[in-house]
Amino acid sequence: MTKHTDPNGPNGPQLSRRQAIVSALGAGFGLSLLAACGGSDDSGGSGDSSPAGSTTPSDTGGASPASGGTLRVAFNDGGAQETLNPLLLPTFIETARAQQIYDRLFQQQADLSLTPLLAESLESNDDATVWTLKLRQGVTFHDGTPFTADDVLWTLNLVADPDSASEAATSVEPIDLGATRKISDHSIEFHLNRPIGDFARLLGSKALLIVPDGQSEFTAETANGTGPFKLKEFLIGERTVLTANENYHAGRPHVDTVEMIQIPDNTARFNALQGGQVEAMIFLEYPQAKALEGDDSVQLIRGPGSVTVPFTMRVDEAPFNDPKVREAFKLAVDRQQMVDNVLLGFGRVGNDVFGDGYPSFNQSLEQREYDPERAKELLAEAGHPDGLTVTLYTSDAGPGMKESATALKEQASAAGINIQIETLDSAEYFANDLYLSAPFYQSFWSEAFENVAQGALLPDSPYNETGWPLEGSDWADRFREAQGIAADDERNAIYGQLQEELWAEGGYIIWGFGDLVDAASPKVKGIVPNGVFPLGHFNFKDWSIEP
Amino acid sequence: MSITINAGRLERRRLLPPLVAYVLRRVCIGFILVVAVSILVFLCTQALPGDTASAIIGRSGSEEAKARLREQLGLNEPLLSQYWTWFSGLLRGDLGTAVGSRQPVSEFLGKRMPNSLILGGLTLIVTVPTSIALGIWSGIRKDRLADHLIGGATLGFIALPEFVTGTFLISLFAIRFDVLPPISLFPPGESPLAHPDVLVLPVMTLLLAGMAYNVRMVRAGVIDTLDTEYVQMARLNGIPEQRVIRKHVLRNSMAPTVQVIALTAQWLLGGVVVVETVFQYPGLGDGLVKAVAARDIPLVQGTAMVFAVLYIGVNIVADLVIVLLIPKLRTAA
Repeated sequence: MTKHTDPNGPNGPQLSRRQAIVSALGAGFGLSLLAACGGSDDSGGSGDSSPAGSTTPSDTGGASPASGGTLRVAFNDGGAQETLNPLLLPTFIETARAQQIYDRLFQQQADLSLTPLLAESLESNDDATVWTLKLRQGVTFHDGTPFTADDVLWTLNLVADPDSASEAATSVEPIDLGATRKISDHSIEFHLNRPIGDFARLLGSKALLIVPDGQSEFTAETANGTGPFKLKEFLIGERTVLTANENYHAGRPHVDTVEMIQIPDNTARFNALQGGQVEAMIFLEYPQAKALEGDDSVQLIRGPGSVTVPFTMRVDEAPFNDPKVREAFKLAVDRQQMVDNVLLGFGRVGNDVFGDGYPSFNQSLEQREYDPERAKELLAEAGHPDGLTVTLYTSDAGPGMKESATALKEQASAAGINIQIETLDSAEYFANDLYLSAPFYQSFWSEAFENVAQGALLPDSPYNETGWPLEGSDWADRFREAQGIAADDERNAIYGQLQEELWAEGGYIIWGFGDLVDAASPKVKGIVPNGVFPLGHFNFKDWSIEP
Repeated sequence: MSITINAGRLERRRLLPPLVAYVLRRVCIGFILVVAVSILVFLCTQALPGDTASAIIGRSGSEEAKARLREQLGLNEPLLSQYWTWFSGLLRGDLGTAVGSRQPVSEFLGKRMPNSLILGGLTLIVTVPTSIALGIWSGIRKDRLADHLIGGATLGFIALPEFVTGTFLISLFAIRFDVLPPISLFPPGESPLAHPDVLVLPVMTLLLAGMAYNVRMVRAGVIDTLDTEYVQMARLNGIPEQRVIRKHVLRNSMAPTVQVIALTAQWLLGGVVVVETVFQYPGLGDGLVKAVAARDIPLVQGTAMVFAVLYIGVNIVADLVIVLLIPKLRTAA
């Protein structure tokens, strides 16, 4: 999840190794850890595809939501290293907090589409290289200063400055900031270095929160955004208190106060919810969630996540340089059993392409099924009539990695595949020399296809785990071309074709996608589950508490 | 032991009162132990899997950034020189700076230590009298129903890990009956004493988990005393049983009490780590777990050293008190 290098795609929540470890400890290691990850931030523009999987929406019952009260939410991460810098959002609590204080230009909805927030409209010229952004008028910062184009330009320049180390830097990279200019107080003309069809997605990226013109230091004293809540108190690693912004441009939040409390231990966090010490908590372990199904004392918030921990086969290394071997391995996985046993049913079967739930996801591909007999035949055709032995490196670095590796060993043996499992240290899993070189490894992604492609499927991708594209293929060129198409349908159609090739010949075995499961008190209304970020994308302003 | 050392000791004994010499010797040994522990702590933290710089920066960080951070943290220095930098800092009372918060480690410890001392202190105050009372009762009712009940119950709890006992108490008192808060949430910066309800379950957990050993020690002391000839004599002389127990048994079986206190205090140093984690009680133990999770080496080292010094300190004090109470040990020293 930290593989966000997509110059074309915003950054998902970065689960840094540090965060992964914290989460792992919190989750007590194991498959429950599945919940300890998020998705990437953004959707593919204004596509209309709705997320797959089931959700547990909490309805407001038509009545107007109750107003007032304090919403206390327990988080798992953060800690001594966290900051108030909205340009750096490595943890969930930092993301959630920044999103209360600041606004994005575009905000992602539950169906993974984007709607304008501080933006009003965005239009391009014919070749998608010049875009005109109109901003919402009448918006003020918490200190009363009006929000204008200067704030947006300042933020973009700040993000682009390498010294800021902003996570969103890759999102502003295609923007030619020298040529980009302010037309009026509420409109900006963007000039891009190359055509980008889905520019709204870049402007809506996770860490692109608009800060006031001139501000580059972010402390509890200077926190000043346009967001639904104002920062009242910040105790590093312990808790954050926010109060409702009475003048919020999109309507005052229902609750008066939000308290974010850090409780890293999963059991303790759940105990706090059950004991009424908090109204909501991030990440319920799957076994706990399983036990709570049908229990009306707890409200499950189940977002159809796009998190996946695929197996990676290097298409340029033996034995996987033979497409028949890759096909055989893909058929040697019992996906449903993986979802049932590793995800405890909190997920969906995967079909070897990324980004289930996103508009660009190709749903029309034939679902691969478990077929060890066919796999055996393929291996024989590939010159392995007596089966094949491979080493799979695994670790606890991602949710369900180890469990799925163990399950694969068992399932693949029916196809004559003998998998030897080597367990590596989770902290080093994505930092050692084996990653990106071992023929058979595992990975961890949650982004849309186009974002993963940028990070892992192009010849110059920093995390090219599988050696894709195949030699002599023009796949990468066609991908880049597609990126410049402004019409969503057209662009996604080409992305769909590219996915089909990946499905047929690629080195990824994507066996399933895990859900994000959180919990809240039944008194909390207005939660809309989201598959990308936990706790309904931290949209606390729409939550209310029944007395 | 070589002769020269014995000679030295004899000489010192002549110069100093024996008790002072004893204390000095214990403190010196304590100091050597602290040094040994510091080496161990340092090596153990070095052996922690994962590279600190990578852990801080994460997978997305560039190699240059990691290299810069390693340089900054002094991770490129030879091990010995890293150790010396750290240990000489310790001697000056400088525990270093936490990697994450960039705050002095001592500040972190200073905030959390009082909370742990309150939790430990309260547990001690509750555990010692309870253990002694139950131990005595159990001893004088040896092999009768009360003895079996006390023995069974306390052994049952010692057999359970603290987190199981803690979770059980939470589900009973916080979730089933909703009379106590399940976890120790209180506004940071405030004292837990201002929120006594958050202390009840952690103290109760430590009490249940730690009592059995103490009860059995006191019980054994009482039974031994009851078997002595002077108690037999007192009984044969027709002194009422009540009086025998009060005057002879209790007083003489009190010797293990100090050991009970010392053992409890030592055990608590480990027990608080688990219990603080279960209840998210903002003490040293909880801090240690979080520091390990965050790979914050200076924080881990500092906290581990505090635990080590406390442990050694408690031992020295306990030994000293026992020596004061039992004069014959003084000459043996």
